[in-house]
Amino acid sequence: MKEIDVKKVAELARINVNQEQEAELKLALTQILKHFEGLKNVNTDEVEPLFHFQDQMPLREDLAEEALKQEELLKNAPNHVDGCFRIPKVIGDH
Amino acid sequence: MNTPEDFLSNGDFLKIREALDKKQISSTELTKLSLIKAKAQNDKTNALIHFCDQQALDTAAQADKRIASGETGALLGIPIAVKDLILVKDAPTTAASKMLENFTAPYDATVVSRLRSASAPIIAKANLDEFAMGSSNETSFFGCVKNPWDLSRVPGGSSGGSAAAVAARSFTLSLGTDTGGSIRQPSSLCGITGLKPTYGRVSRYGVVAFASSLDQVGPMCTDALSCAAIMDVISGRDLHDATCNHENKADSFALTKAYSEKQSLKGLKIGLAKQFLSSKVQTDVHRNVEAAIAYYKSVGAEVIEIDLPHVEHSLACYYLICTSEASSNLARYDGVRYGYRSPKEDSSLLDLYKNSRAEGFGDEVKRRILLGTFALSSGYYDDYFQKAARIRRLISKDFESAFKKVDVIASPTSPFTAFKLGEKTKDPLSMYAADIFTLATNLAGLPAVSFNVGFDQSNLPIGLQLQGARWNDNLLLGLAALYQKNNPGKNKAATL
Amino acid sequence: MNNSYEITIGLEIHAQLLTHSKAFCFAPSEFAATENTMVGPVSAGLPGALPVLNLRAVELAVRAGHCLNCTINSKSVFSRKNYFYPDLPKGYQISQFDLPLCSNGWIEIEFGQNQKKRINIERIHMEEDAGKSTHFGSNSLLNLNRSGVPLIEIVTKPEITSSEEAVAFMKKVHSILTFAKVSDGNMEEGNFRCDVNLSVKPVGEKILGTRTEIKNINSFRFAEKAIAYEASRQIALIQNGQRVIQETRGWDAALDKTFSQRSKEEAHDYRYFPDPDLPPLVLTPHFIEQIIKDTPELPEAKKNRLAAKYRLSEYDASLLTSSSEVANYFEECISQGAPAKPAANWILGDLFSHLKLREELSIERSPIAPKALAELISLIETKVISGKIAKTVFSEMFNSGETASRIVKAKRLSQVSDSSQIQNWVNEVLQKNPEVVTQFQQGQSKVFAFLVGQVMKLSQGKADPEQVSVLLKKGIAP
Repeated sequence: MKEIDVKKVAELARINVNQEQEAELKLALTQILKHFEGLKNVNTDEVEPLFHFQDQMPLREDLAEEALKQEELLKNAPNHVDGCFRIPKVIGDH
Repeated sequence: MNTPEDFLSNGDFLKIREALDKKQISSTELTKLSLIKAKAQNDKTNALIHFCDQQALDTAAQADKRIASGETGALLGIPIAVKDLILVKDAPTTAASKMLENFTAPYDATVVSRLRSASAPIIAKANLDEFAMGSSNETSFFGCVKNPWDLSRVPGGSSGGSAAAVAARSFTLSLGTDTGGSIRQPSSLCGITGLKPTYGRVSRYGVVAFASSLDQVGPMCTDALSCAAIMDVISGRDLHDATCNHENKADSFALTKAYSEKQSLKGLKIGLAKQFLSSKVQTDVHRNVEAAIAYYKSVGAEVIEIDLPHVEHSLACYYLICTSEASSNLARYDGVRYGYRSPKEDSSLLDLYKNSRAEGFGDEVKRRILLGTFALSSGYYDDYFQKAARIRRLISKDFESAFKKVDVIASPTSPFTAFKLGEKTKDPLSMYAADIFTLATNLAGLPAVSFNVGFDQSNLPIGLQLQGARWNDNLLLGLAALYQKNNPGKNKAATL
Repeated sequence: MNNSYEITIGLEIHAQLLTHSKAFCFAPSEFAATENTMVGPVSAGLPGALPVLNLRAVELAVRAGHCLNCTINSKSVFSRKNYFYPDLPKGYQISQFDLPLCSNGWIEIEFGQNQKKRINIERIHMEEDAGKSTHFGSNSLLNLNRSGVPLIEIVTKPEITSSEEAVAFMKKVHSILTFAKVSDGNMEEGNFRCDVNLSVKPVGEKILGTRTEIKNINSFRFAEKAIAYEASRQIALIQNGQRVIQETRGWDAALDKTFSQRSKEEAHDYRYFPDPDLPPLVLTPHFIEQIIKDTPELPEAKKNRLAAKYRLSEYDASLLTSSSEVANYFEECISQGAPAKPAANWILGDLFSHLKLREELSIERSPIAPKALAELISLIETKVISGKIAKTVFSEMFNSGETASRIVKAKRLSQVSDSSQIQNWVNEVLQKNPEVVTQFQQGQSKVFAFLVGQVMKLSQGKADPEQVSVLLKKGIAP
């Protein structure tokens, strides 16, 4: 079974883990994954994955509804100024 | 039976409805009492996070006006609580997480708008496992919920608050959500009736998402008729939810009531899954569930053994899918636009993300996000997430085949009655195992109901689960209502 | 450009679709000056929000696919592209991954000296746009107005080999999408932008070099410059024995160079998976047919039709259909009664030059509306004013916004057609210029123009030039 690189996964998930937590998590997650190893042996050749219960999506008419008012949108914001959300500077593009 | 207290404690839907319509009691009285009771009981159970006094009383007044003018409606004026995962405009919605501790909902969930239209006063936001991840309501940022039947025990989860408060009769109606058993398992552990509807029957718009292809909102009440009344109001196509596109015929209550009056179940086939039968189950649970099935047999139902060959993989399959979807659904909680932001000053954006999420989420949530991120990541997607999705198809097909032979599948809801607080928190896997009978239902998008069929030696409730084919929710409610009508004493209130 | 290296380019064009509401959110999809006023729960990524796809966005995307010669896939799937960035409120973008809406399209571009080349399009898929962050000292400010606006992404095969081809491709796609009314193509507002994937390799080498991606180019000029710069930069690195690093770069318009936008984190793992909130998009053949039927006339077809119908030169017709705004202007003039050739001439001549001098003002903001131009032309056709005077009137119209007839009236510029008045002027000129008359009579026909000019001067330009000519000829005939 492939080893789980907790540090890498935590980076991807943008969650800080210290060394102690990293060790704990590695143990816990490895144990859980081990439990899931049985799935490997199930024959799923020719089996389509199930992602949705509907064959197709409904589409909606192009009618605009009222947007949230700026105050409503910002009322839960941890930090905002001049009608914008404020965050530490974004470095680089994604 | 005279006073609002009598009706609340008794919990019988038909009686409450009649008393309101006959103006024996008013919605305002009932709502006021409900609020008082809920607050008092909360000291012991911690079932509720927030009380919506003003909104509830306003709606109650409205309901009384409508009743006075001769209007009828199944839910009109009956107080209800909603799991604090469901957005109620201008009220806090916390998902029982530090991440949303101070979040005020700027819009109503569709189910809430529909409750408002029906003038059902929304009393409170019920406690839950953080972000609906849990089976014992021990992961809430606002503290554990205690089972009113025994305050040293868990009420089940994740909708533990709804179950506990209804069991203690703070009110008789509530909404929960069910992703892997979160309505049914706490309903079973608290002795109430809970329905997980067919996936797609009830809108998820305005409900904090855990696992999008598994989540459903459903009723958790004192009895099946209450559940049916709620279904008529909340079900049906919502333009704001692309997965909820089914017409609501609003006939659940009528059909359930009619079914409850049946004299014979001749022709009905109840399936017992081989795989469930061979699972380890607490003795009392087994005994009471058997007795309940015997009741159905006694009125003409036939019991048939069925095979669900892939159901043993439900746990692995469920946990890979739900954590994967959750890892994506919870990415929005980043401290940028709402929710908890780490106070660590002069941090970079990257640190803001990592600290806010590390500090704002509890351990179980973090564990699941990491697991899900892993299962979707490059190199692992095929073997984990996609593999689980294929097995999900197989499990779903197993049920399809089974439902060609039987109408419903019966089993205990939970292998055991309410366990002690702290008993399973050390080992996530043992906690996950609480849901072995319920997980497959969500994987296959099926409806399932849980209702009380007895008590164990410690006077802890035991639930029977009935699962049905997709869209056959009414049959399940009907069977529950029939049982409840003919087996009095099972819908007892917990006394605190 | 260095001759021992060849360039390989693949383009990804993002175009915003012309819808009233957003792709998955019910909030309006329009430009708003005030930040964070065009945002709904879905485009804000609020807890509990769910996406529902906009029918019109689908129609426009299918139309785009058809116009770009793609196969329209009757079933396509939306996937989540997961990454963290402040302008991405949900922490993922709803896009399409392994089953896009359109595949295998192409267009033929023209560039250089009548060179033609077919550029193949790998796919077109639908997705949603992100919000915008602006930088302010050590902070960034986030505006989500643009979050959730519907986009199509057009991805070419890496078959483009020069900046000329790249720009020709961008321009043609821009033209097609604007004529088809799929997008307004407003590049300044960022409604049409391009990512350029570029690598270099020695001529004849089969294996492609390491590529870089230059993101968010929103002008044809910038694209041209960025490609030139980046190709040179990569070639220089290689010639210096260094390696090209695979990274994202931006175009610095002030410094005329590309710059690295490499963040310090690892390469992105987008963890694509089908969005559980959105079942597959399924289109019936009838649906697709209907959209194809309703497609507005495309530039090539319009050019040919206008050339044929109004007997314009291929050159003029192509200039008149160089943008949908110019084409609309021209057609509007015609519908206001202007004859085609004069309309074409005025637009391509005076109007274009005036707009250019007014800091490249766009034709939709022309102070002279099609109706006004049509009126001016009718004044010439009915001989109220001469062609020469008309030019003055035109300038005045452009600067003041006034109509032609008002200006002509106010400045008394009406042409004089009264033959007796013209005769008086002719007589006066002939009287005052006897030597010139003699010169003409002696065979110097060129001096005729001088005499005509004198009459025009006397009449302050208002005399009907035809009559002047006729009467002068009569008057100086020996």
